[in-house]
Amino acid sequence: MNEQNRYQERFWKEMIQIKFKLNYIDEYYNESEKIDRYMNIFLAVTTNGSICSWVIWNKLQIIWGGIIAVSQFVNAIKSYLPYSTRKKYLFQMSKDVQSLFLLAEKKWYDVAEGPLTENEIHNLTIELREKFLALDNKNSVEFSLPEKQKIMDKATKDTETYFNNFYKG
Amino acid sequence: MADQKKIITETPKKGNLSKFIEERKFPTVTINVSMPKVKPPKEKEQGTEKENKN
Repeated sequence: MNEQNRYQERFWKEMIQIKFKLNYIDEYYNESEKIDRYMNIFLAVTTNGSICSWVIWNKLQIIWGGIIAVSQFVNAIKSYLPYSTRKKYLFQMSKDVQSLFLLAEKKWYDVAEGPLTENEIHNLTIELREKFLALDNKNSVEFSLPEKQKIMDKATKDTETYFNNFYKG
Repeated sequence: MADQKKIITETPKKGNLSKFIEERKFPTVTINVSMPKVKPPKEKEQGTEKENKN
């Protein structure tokens, strides 16, 4: 890290982390949405299709009975699964972090073009961190987001692409 | 609670891995995008330094 630009570099890295988190949140939301959708489709097919296909499945009663049992089990535990809570959190966080990232990009001009002192740049960096923390606390309920390598990789790649497209001189 | 904090600060061992992961929400990653050229930050104003000395 260049000694002269260290505060600008820190702000830059903070901005990158915010964009990464935004991409991570969006990817996580997409995946949770996908699982939720598949689960709803499965439940819809097993409940509504049962009467129509009864004649077809009549000869395979054990298999159909198993499917029905699984569908009833899934239906019973569905509200306790973390996907719907996660989806609400991720949806709100996505909107809030998007605004935070726009703010960071707006401030970047002042940080990069030299009208701010090192102290002011440092304060801006801390302000971004505090704002992110406040958003997380505001939207958060007690649950976790287990790390998923696939989502991390995609979010990392998207972040790199974004900064290479818009900031590479 | 004390046990949970201990897990976070330690390097996760095989059995603790899932618990360790669950405690965190957002991973920190290294993204290789170099900073574009920037102008040096503004120097601290003279008046402010004098005020600080006083």
